[in-house]
Amino acid sequence: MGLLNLLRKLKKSDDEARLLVLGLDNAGKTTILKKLSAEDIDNIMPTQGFNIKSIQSAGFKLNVWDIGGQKTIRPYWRNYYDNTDALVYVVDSADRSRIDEAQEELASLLKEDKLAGTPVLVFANKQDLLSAISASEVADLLQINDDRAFQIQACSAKSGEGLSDGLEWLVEQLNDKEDGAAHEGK
Amino acid sequence: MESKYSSETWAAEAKESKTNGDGLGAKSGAKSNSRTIVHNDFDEEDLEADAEWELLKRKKRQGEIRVSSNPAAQRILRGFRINHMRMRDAESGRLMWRSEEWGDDMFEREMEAHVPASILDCRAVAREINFTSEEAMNKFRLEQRVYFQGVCMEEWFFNFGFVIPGSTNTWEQTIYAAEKSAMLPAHLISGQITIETSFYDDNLFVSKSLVRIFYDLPEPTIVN
Repeated sequence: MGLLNLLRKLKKSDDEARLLVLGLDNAGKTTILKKLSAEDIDNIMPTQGFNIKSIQSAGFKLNVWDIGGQKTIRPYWRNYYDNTDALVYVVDSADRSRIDEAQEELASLLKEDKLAGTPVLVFANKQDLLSAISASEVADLLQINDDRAFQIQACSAKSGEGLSDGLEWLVEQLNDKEDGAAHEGK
Repeated sequence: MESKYSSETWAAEAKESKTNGDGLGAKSGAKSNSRTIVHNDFDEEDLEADAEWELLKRKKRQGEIRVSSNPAAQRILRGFRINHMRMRDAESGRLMWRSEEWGDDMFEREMEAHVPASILDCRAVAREINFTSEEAMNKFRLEQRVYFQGVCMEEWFFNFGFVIPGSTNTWEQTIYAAEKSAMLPAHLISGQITIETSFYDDNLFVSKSLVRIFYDLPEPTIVN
């Protein structure tokens, strides 16, 4: 399932959905998005700003914002929180030395008012590497203690494995939110 | 802020456009969802008969290249450049065209994009712009218009919002048509389609670039 399928499966009361993709530098954010649009992933450079994918089908738009993860860029993340329907947080599961850093950044994202209640999908990426730790280990180390909708999904941006499952979950969350809004509660 | 310069005039004129009034008019609404091209309601003979008249009309309706003379805009512009534009077949991911060889005179002259005619068979084309800005911008936005024979066929507005100082950014847009529309043959539309891209910081116009699309046959070899 690529981004187009995601778009087509969404219930459409709004005419637009916005996904925000964050994570440390070199976690694989851009690679995941390129893989999802069948693009070549061989020569991906560190993102020095944002990459946006806008997809339109049947009058409905999906905008996916991938913001660079380098330390110098992170202070600017806050500029992109508005109207986010779901947050995708990408972790390099093969880089144990930076899991703490990934945990800290995620923890501070979860405290942001503008992202309050936003469903979070964590991609435990790079599962194709032998040194990768499992998704459940990633979950433990991220110490997620939050009652919003959360999902840790093992994936490999390189092989594409796990990406569809992550998107399926996102669709569920976004559609639940739609139903919730329709029933005026919750 | 819809200060549209001459484009409003073009749109108004497009409505009375002689050749395209029926065929294109229906699809050229301001917010058309469909991906370009055309109902073929006029045949080659009409086209030939109208050719001269069309030529006369053409000049001002295919978008333009412009740079703001406002000092604030000029400051942004000095640190602003388009690094490349690309087109891909959105379904296969295959790169159909890229502009890397253009250099940095995108706001000085009309660009030419020679794309393989087979791009017309793609159900959806992903168009990508990659740009760098030295200056921070708070409400950066873009307006993109596709013109065919003087008619604005497609209009796309996008708000980037904040632009990080010294950043390089990519915007890629893909429009999936519900069904494939009837296409004119490549040789008839080649060189007739232009894509105008205008940049603004909030209400401040910064610059416009213009790319003319040529559909080349036979297909040139393109690496991917």
